[in-house]
Amino acid sequence: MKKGLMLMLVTMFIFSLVGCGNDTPEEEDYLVTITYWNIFTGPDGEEMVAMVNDFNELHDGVIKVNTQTVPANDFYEILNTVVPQGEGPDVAIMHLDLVPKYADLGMLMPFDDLMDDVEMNSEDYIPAVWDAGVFDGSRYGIPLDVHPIGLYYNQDILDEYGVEVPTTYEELIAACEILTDDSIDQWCMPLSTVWPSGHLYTSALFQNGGEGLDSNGEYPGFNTSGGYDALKVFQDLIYTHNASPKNVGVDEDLALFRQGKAAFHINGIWMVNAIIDSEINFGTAPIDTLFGDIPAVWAGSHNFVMPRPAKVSEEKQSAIMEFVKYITENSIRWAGAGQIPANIQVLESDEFKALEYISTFANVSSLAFVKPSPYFEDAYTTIYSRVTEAMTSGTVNIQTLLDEAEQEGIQRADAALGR
Amino acid sequence: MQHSAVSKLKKSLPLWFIAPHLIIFAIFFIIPFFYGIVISLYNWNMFFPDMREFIGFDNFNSILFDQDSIYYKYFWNGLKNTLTFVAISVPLLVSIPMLFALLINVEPKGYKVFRGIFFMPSLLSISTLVLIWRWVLNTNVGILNLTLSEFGFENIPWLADQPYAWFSLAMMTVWWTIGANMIIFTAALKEIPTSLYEAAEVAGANIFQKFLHITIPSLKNPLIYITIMTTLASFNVFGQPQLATGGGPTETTKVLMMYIREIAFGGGRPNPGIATAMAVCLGVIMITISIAQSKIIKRLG
Repeated sequence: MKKGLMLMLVTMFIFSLVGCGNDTPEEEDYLVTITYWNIFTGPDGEEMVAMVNDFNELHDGVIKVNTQTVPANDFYEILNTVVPQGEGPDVAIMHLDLVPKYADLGMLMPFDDLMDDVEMNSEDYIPAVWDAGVFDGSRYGIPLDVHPIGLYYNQDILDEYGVEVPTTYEELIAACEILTDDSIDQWCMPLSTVWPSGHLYTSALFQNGGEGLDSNGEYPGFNTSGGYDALKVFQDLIYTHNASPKNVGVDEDLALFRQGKAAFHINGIWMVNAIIDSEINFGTAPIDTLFGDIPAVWAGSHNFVMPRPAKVSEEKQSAIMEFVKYITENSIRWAGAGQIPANIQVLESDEFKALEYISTFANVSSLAFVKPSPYFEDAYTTIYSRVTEAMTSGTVNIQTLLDEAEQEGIQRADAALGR
Repeated sequence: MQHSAVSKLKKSLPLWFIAPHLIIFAIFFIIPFFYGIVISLYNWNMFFPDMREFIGFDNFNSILFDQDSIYYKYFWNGLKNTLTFVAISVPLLVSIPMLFALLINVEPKGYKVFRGIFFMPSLLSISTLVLIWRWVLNTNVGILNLTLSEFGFENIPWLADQPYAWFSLAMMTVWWTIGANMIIFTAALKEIPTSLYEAAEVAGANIFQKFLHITIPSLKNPLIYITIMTTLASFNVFGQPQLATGGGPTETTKVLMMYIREIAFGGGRPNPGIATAMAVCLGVIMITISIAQSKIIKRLG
């Protein structure tokens, strides 16, 4: 704990230095300077910096965007400390499912009044993700991308066994009967019991007609027959259908696929470049109906938000909007880093359709998001550790797990709601 | 005149030397320590500190007694896991270094090399340590299981299932911290006058009697020191479970320090009042146990 505190203080110290940097004379040449925090530490971060540089070049002498990369693990903790002091960035990237919480806490500014100035229209964005950026009637998030999970398949293994890419649960089970072969250490679909198993569950939950939260968006909604069926899928895949080795840890599933020991692998679209690097002969396909009948796939989304500042001039506000609009409309570079652009014009461009692996990764119309709610983390994410439990034991009772997760979700929501 | 100025300076000189430490110690330890106790008495609003509300011992009540509160569940589960780790690791972290120190004290051939090898892991940072061990302990792609499978063993879920997870955490902690304790024991063993052993030999004592009646009593002071320091360090365990198991399987290795950090700063819903109340409780437990330990060991001696 002492270490964590130190880290925070050091980080704050560094940021305070950076804050001073804004006053250096050379930057007075610009009419407006914007501080922008992103959370992209991987190769995608380089793409983001390149996009920001392009924007700066285009607005040379007028707008200058200073971007800063904060590792995602620390991002929210740092935001929690600096925004209340009025020391936050002018614009930042936030995960969509947390936008309502930060809006509810009063830490974000709405975009509503600013969008007309730059002619930003709702029709330009994927409707499901656009709608999810609204909380309490105001818009707090503008989507940059969507990043669903999907299926990676090993083309060589499928060819060898004459198996087609499965699109339903029945087809998946049938494929696994053929593809798993202990004697040569080959697996149908290794499944990590930990991350990202929660996202697989969320997809299966929607596909089986379940809901993440109740109708008020306050309490867990997954303890239903749909939620039961979804959880059973993952226990059965491992313990009945022999799809995966037991006790697979984080990224072990990825390692097996990259080593050519797995026919299928489910992971985020962001993993595409890591899999290209492995030189496996592979393809990608949506998993909309792989675990149930209703087409739906979990997707995350990076959203632009404006942390509540002490004061922001009108010039600055329109500069921010100019910047956000530019980045979303020019996000084709971003797609190459392993993301699906949220902007429909980019999505329908020939350049995007030409992106191998990425353009075939998901059906945009079936992307699904848990109901926007400030209590998403409190009430919903308690199911994740139970997904792990179901995947770690062939005998644990599914209903008990759902009951426990629901109970904990209610208690956490109560604590958050101050009840 | 000049003389008195010099003597004055001489008197105040030590203060100047320790001043930098004192200032930093105060800023980063003393002030936060008492400030933390203050926070534990408030319903503290992380985002708008002005909206904090004094609630006396309500936070302590929620974590210690209120069975409907989620924080009650977190506190007791975390404490149980921390105590489990202490119970497993402390005996190993005291006895194994002592054994190694005894062996090295005999000064067998190449003992300096072994001393270096045993000490080396202590130089690693926690993240490096865990990264190495995760490669070794991965269930399906780890070196250990791949080796074992050559001999026909089934894959063992070293980090993914109990009781293996505790075993693995204890093992990596022993490997990591063996060096420092071993050095202290080695130094203490060197202090024992050889004349004591010679006298015992003359009196006809065998090797076990010598160990029991000369070595152990001579090691009393370092033993007290090491036991207490190791116990305190084990209560503060955080990095190994945080990075190696993430608190799993099913939060059985999620130690109290992980809960405290998560509730205080976590990306979730920070509740500094609850977190500091938990920290205060943990502190009280640690102080009590340290005092008890030193009393017991002194009495045994």
